[in-house]
Amino acid sequence: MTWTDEELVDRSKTGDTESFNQLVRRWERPIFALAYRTLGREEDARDVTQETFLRAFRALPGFKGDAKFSSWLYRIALNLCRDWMRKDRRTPVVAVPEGVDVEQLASEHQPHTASVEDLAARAELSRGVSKAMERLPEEQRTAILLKEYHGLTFQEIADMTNCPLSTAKTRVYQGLTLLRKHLAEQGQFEPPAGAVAKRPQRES
Amino acid sequence: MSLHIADDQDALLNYLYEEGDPAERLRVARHLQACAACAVAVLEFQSVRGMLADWTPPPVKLGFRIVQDQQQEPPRNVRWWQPGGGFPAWAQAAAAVCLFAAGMAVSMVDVRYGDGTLMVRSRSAASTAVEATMVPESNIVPVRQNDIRLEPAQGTTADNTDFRALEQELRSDLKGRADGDVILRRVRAMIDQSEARQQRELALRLSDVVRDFDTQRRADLLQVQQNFGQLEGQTGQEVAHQRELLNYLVRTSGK
Repeated sequence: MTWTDEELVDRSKTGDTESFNQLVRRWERPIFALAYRTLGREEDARDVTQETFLRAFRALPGFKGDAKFSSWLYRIALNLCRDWMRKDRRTPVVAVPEGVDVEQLASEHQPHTASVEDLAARAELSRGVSKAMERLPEEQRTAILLKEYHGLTFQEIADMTNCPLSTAKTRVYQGLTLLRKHLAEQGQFEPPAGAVAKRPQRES
Repeated sequence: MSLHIADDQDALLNYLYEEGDPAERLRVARHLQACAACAVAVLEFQSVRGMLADWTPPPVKLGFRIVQDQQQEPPRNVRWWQPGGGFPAWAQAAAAVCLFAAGMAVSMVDVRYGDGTLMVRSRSAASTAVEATMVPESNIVPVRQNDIRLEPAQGTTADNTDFRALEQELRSDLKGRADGDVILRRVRAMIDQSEARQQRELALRLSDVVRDFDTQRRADLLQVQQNFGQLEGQTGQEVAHQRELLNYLVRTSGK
């Protein structure tokens, strides 16, 4: 039987650790992806993911359920990422680590029928996108991450980042515009050839 | 629609992300059919979004879980079997040994003692695996805020630690308590947990092996392709050389 997040939260509040571990299993990958795309370092993202769930577990009795559990988790993770960057006095470095090659990418995300050339091209594009994202202001980058990869509504982004709805929309709009510019400067922006592009895969 | 939606941030975003009023999005769609400039602008945004799809985080094993430090169970008062006010210590110890041995025989558990080490082994993994669902809930200890920690569920040396803990526990129990059933339950629970952990670890390692194998296969394929390319190049050169030689021979013989 599959429990909803709300049911698992209720059970966790009564001391059922295994229910909380189910929530961890369900949400650790989206949280890791958000942290990785924000911080750009695998180890940092792993630490932030771990800390996110620890904080969530400790704060669970105070979670009233006004927002979705996932939104609450995202907020904790984003705050931790922000603290992480400030603590280390560094800007986020969004880069594909040296150790990741096309085979690694393939094993996780690609069907085995993809050719080596396709994989290499996608890896190159992935590096290009990460570089372009690195150049975005933090607010725009966060808004785009939440919108594109986690499927939040503009209102949810606004609530999570404590800004008006119009600001959340502007951040996404300006972020996409800047991304297009950066990708074009890197020679990686493909002008549309009339076909509708595919959508990013959501993490949840 | 009189205005270009490329200049209307709200309308553009609502259309791109399929949010907001459906009627408004329909109007935008109709406008796009008639206005090439706006259609191109929308396609450019969609193209950027498509490229974002290729940015994937590295494949990592996470498997975090909340765990708690083992707490000492509060001593239980099991005196219902002592109507006369208790037996001598030696009698309790003897009874404990008998009950423990009988329990081990019934549960197919192999216990050996030698070189100062107590070894406990399950003879039938299958039977204990089935019993894993029957672990008594009395083993669950309420979580205390100070005791929690989060750790990756990867293979550790927890098994050895568990058995050492079991050994200590058995020794102390044999000395001070005569409740063989309790010991038996604990042994079963520990073994069940250990088996489950080993199975998880085995599954993880198997997936590692499969992935490594696949990676190696792809690398080999790439190498083979490159070798073939080089071979073709060399063969082409050799053929050209032979042809030149033949032409030269024909020319010389003609003279």
